[in-house]
Amino acid sequence: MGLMHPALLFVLGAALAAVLRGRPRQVVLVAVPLVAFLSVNAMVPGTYGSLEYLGFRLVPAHVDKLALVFLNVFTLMALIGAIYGLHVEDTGQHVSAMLYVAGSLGVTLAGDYLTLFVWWELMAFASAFLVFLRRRRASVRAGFRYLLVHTVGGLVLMAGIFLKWMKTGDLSFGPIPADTADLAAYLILIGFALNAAVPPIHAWLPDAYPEATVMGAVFMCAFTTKTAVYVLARAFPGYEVLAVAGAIMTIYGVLYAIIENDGRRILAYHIVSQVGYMVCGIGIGTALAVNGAVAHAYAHILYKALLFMGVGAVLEMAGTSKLSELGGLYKRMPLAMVATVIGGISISGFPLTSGFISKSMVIAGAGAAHRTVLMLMLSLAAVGTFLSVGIKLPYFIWFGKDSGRECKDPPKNMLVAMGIAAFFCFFLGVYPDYLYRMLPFPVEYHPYTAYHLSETLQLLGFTGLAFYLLRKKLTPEAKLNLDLDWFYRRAMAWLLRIDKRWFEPANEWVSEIYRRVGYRFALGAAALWSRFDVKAIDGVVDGSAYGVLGLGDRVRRAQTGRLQQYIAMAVAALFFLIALVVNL
Amino acid sequence: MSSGLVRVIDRLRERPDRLRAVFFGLLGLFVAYDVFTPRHELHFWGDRVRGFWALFALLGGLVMAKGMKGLGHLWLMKPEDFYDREED
Repeated sequence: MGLMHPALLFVLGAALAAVLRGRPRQVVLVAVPLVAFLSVNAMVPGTYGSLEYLGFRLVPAHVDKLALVFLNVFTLMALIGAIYGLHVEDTGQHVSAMLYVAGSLGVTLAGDYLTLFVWWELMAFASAFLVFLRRRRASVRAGFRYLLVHTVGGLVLMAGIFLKWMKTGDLSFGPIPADTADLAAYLILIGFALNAAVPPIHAWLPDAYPEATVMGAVFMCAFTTKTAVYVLARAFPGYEVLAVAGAIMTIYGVLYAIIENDGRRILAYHIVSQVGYMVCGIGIGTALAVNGAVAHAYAHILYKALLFMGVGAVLEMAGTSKLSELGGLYKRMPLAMVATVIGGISISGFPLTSGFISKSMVIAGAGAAHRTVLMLMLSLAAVGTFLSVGIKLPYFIWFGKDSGRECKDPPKNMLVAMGIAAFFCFFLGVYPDYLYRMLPFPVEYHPYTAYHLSETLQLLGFTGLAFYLLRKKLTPEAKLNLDLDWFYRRAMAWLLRIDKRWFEPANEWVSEIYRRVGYRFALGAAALWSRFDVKAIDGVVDGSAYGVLGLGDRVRRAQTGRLQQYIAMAVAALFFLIALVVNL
Repeated sequence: MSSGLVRVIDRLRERPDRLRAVFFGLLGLFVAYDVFTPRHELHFWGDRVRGFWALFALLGGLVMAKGMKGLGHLWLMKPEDFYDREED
């Protein structure tokens, strides 16, 4: 397989990044993903190093064509991200990013669910630190929400894995045919779908990514959702629920992107939308559609990273990524503008860019499978994509009304990273065979047909006209847009308040009754015991009188005022009574 | 290189009328190109209609933008500190 499991290479890289500083650390940051990229390209399909552990058969490295294409783009992206973050001094960010990539590569190579689960959780925890480490109050809060949501997702996944183990005794990670899917399969699917940000379990993404560090967001936009796409493509191709959910995702994401104000949140919503194409392709399940999903994942990682790098550079250099506070920056950050525009036209699917040769494959897959409604939904989402990321985002950052913000192009390492990603956007668009050769199924698709060109030019041109007609209406507004994170941000707060307002006093009230009534009753009972003892028995058996006094004291002491203890005592008494009845 | 790019953009921004004319000219050209484009693989009836995707994009873009802005003003848009006030 090569010198070392690539995930372990990144774990080692994380350890070195933690102890080294300055130039040696920069060398490690670039060398680790570079070596991983080269070793991944030299990998041969097969299963490596399987072992028995506690009665489970663990397969830490299962390599096939599907895994290889994801490993290729993940390691390439890790290299680009590392170069982009070279100037960052914060050790925590580098360590987290390395562990995060390790988790993603570990999942991609996992041949069994236990191995998968361990790397899966490493991803969630490591990436949460990329949010925490921005060290703003809002970021810490968003990081905790992110972690909580992913912990719930991880639990659902674990429940599915347990059920599968109990039912089949088999933990190997492979395709689950749709007609044999049971509860275990659907729990696993939900666990995966949460990481793919499938609505209604998507809100963690636009909540957390815009709050991450500039470098952290570049890593995050690439790995979590695309690792989820990989596992969905491996286990659940041909699931109708994914086809429909994916098509809904594509539109859901762009609709929010149209009204969103924060540049990085616009891009986050577009992850939801673009991952929708992949989820839909996997759900359709034909060779063309799954190929399209995988190709789109590859292309998407690079152009979306380019967009996050460009807007991240704006945030770093101009101090904000809110469109309502930006405008006219083309004079001061022209190179970052070029990068963002290239990312924008790639995501919109301009001819000669990567989006043109990948997105169209999914749409063609839907068409070829006679899924006309899905095909139209995906095409409509393409319109929304160009409207919001292709035009709105660059227009209000680089052109529009000059905000007068003082800034300049970012450091060289950031520009180099953007340059590499931009190169790949065009390279894949001009030379699609480079990507098509890596796809899991043989490709018989030609994107550069006259009709496809005509269709694309019309879609893009007339979306431009729609923007031109509505450009004033589309001016970004400094507002927050409600999404389904409302349920765990506001509704949970309400529940807590209801708990505080009603349940806590009720609990106190019941406890108080026990404290007063119960205590008096106990005192009275003890006194009665005592009087009975004095009047009736005293003088007859002195010893027993002391014993009864002692019992009365014990009854008195049993009244602690704690509700849970009374309940426990009541239950114990009940059991005692039942035992008595049964024995009699 | 970057200063040259800035100059080109400055020039273009000084001539919005010409830019607009080029843009509309291109739109016309795209539809004209579609009229003469052969169709080999037809997925549904819209593929047969000349200029279908132009109309689809224009209407789709207008409806999505207007609809979402309307929904935003009606319901979705809240003050930026909407959650902060609750969470404090």
